[in-house]
Amino acid sequence: MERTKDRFWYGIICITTMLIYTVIGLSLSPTSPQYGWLYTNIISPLSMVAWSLPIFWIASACYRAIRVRGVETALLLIATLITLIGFAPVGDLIYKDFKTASDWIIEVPGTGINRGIMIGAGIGTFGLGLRILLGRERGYIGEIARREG
Amino acid sequence: MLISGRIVSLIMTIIFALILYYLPERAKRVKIPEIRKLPAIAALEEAIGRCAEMGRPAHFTAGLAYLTTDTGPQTLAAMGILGYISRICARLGVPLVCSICNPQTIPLHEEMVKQGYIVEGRPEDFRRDYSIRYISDEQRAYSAGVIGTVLREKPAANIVIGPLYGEIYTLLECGRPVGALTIGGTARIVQVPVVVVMSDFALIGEEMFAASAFLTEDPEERGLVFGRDIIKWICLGLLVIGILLSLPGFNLPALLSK
Repeated sequence: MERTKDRFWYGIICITTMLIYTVIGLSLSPTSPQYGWLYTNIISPLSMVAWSLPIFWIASACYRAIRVRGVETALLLIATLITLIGFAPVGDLIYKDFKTASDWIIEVPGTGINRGIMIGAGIGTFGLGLRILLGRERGYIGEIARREG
Repeated sequence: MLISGRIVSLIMTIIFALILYYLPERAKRVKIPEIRKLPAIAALEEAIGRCAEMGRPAHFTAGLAYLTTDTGPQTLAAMGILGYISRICARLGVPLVCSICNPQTIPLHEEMVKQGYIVEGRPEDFRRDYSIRYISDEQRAYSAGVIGTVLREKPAANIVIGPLYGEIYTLLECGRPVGALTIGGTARIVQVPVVVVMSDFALIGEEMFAASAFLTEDPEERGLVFGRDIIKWICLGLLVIGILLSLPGFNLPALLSK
């Protein structure tokens, strides 16, 4: 909590909320209806707001990503459109094989690429895990500064 | 007593472990192939240079950064990259802000950033209260906290590298309104497409683990990357053999899982 002109009230709200929760939780127990009411009417709506924000982020990111700038982005756009239309309720009405094409994109190239990345990430995780177990990886406990400092 | 169905896995694990133990040791004595330059790693220096030119800070966060799950190595790989970022920041005089979700990683963040300043000969420039900011271990509160931090500090580079979960959308996109260059990275397969779409530069899959070898140019680290490449070739060989044997009807996966 900082005593700054524009953020002071946020700190007051944070501390007050924490105190209210602590007092009600300690005096009536966290399983009481009053505590449940606070959770349902404060935490849940705030959480829903926090989780609704990604909708806007995804929309803006998709707008940037599906612009054609080369062969790779063109392929991405085509695959995205086929998959989206294939999953849309009207996909079958536009063209009956959209669903088949969409399933093929997910099951064949999609699965192949996924497995390639998974194998790479799995081997990477295994390698780093082994080094940590053997005590060879010490960068995060000051080894770099000791070696180069 | 060995459990049926896991014998081949055990043998493969032992072979892979031996490769990953032997090759880093051998790399100290014998020259091994160069590691290709990763665009996202090259972009880190460019992004922090941009911060210096614009007189704005750099922001780093590693997501939920679990240490005690299967994504723990990703967190430690991200810490290695943070060490490199802090060195560039120290060299160029760019303030670095780290937003932290998992309290277990506070000492790791602190140590990596401090090390960067020490290695560059500027330990007095390390400001713990400014650079190391614990937000919350609750995912939604953490996401909201990162948005607030980025909007207030207005970094010119937003670096999000680590084991990322559902908070990835907010972490990567919150830098856009302030014009930050976004560099993302994860080895979590479900979030890889999101990183690719939402970042200006992306580190995906094994690149995260190879990054520290590229950054440090340590022969042992490079030997480890070489060992991982050999294991990938073994896996690829097994895949090709399995496909070829399946043509006459021979079931290699069933044999290997006995």
